[in-house]
Amino acid sequence: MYQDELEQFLQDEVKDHRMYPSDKIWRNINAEVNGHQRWPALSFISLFIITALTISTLLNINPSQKLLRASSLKQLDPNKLPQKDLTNRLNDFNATAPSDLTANTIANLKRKSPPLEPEKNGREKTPVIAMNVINRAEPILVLKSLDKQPTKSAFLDELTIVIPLTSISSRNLSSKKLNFLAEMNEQPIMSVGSIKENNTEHQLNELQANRLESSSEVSAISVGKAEKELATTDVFLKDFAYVSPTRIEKGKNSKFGFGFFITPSTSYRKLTDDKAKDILGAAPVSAPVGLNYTTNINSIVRHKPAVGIELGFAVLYNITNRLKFKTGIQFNTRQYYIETFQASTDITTISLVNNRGVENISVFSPYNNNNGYKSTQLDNKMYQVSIPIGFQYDLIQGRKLGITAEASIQPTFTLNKSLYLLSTDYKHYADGNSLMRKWNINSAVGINITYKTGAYQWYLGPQARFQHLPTYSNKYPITEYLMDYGIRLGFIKQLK
Amino acid sequence: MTEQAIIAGCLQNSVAAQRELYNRYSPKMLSVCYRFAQSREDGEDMLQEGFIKVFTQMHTFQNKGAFEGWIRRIIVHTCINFLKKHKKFNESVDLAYADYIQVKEETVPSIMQARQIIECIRLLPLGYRTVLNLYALEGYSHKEIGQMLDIEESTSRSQYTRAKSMLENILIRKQIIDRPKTEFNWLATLKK
Repeated sequence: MYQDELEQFLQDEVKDHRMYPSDKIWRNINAEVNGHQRWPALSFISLFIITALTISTLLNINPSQKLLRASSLKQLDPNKLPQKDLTNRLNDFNATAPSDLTANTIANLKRKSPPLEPEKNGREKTPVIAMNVINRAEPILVLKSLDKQPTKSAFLDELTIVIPLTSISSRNLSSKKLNFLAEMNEQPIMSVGSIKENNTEHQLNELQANRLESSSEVSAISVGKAEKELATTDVFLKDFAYVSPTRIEKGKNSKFGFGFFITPSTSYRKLTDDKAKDILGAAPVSAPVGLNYTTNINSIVRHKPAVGIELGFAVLYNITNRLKFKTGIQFNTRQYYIETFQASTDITTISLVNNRGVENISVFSPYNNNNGYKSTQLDNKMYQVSIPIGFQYDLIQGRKLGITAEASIQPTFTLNKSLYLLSTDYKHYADGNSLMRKWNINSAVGINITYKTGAYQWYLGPQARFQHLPTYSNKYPITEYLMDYGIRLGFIKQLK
Repeated sequence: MTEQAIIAGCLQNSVAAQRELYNRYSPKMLSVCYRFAQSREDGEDMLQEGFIKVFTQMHTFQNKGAFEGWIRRIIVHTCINFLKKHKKFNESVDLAYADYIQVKEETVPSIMQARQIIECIRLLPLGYRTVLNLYALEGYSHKEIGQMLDIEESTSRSQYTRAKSMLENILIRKQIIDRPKTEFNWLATLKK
């Protein structure tokens, strides 16, 4: 008896005890039973970024390869190669050298080049300048062309850049600079600011002759000793930075470019129920006509915009100087929240309009639009891949800054299924995945401020993206259109 | 939503019906799991495994008994399998060990009496606790318990007797029940 009473006591006290599990348990169960419906966004984005970086690396041409190397100096001998080739090589150099070339820039490029070896027999007729670009206050070395003197190769190490003097001839060197070069030509090893005075008249004349042969723009030479002593490497380098970019670069740049962009955005939606009003409103009594058909549907639902993102890789083709054809691939996450109520599961009706008339589908729904035991928030989230096809037009082209406008049409494929739709009696939200339209058409417009840094053009500006077909099938009489507004940040690199 | 509608919905793989079934029965079933488990986390894992079985085996329910009872049996079997799989039964179920259980006031949360009693049950060694749960609270016979736990029926009986004795001591020490003056009316002295 005593024992039985204990058992009864335990049963009475314990058997109906309840504990409430965390939400995570249901999510796990749902995923296990019904499959993982959520798109693995993180994996996809990671894969996208890795792919994008790989492509950009492959497409990126190392500009330092365009610089003349010591190994090619032999070919610069005008006796062996025509002047045209030399000019082409110079153009290559000019095309790749940024307009604000500095010693540091040269140094960075130079680090990627193999150590230089000068012509041992000193037979070159094209003088070259070699300078140590790291230790800029140290010697600037001129490898003389006709003096038969072996150049001191000890100074031509990996930190030295070599530029043929013929390249300088195409530029508007001042007579002072040319004179400075002449002095250096005579002083293979010299410190700027303490130039020795042992140049010979013969060597100076030789260099003058070379200079005048190759450039008619060079004016008379006058040697100003005091000014020579004050010259610095930086001043000297300025003479390598003034090539008119339009004349040389135009023909060299590829018409293609590529870029990446990211656009944080917020999604809004607009519902229209004209079809529901026209067809269901006139349907027989048996049809589950909503009670609020006289009210604007957008005032019945409560939705909250949420942050989405667009990530894309773009390929551009220059049609004209200002107009570019633009395409690529774009990954979109767009979402918005629906505010509703958690309620006891009820059967609700979705009316579908097809060729046979109105078809009613009964579905279970634990979400009531009007009341419930607690408020909740549904997350309508879509992961999409789209192929933007459009144009970009440069409204303003400045040296650094500019403004561009762009527009595109985007065939879009939705990857996941995680949507809730409003029942056609407007009372519940139900699973809308089976009615979701997988393919859609979007369009996007934007205007950007651009800024050039070296080979890259960065841009930033507002973007708007519109969905042109309803989110759900045409059978569903309530149409939903999505709009995204965001800020786009990206860059474009023009291929050489 | 009726029980029949829930069952029909689950058979059609309706997520909403599954959610409703889960919302309705998971609190009770988590309490069952918790009594068997070493921790709440283990209990939730048991619950998760159990409900996955419920949803995937829904077609085997033949409407011949209480639906809740059918779910409960699945959950209990899942708990036992979970304990076996994680080798929880390797723990000693020696009564001598049980005598050294420290019962401190703070180990039992002072909330509801049912929860207090459950916490007292969870103070029992795992073997005792399992047999007590199965026999006294879930209604299995010692023969069934022997088959479920791969032990002799007599072992189940003896463990249950010891478990009950130990639980009584714990409940008295926790002042949930008074020590009975006679063998027949101790229940009347339960503290309210």
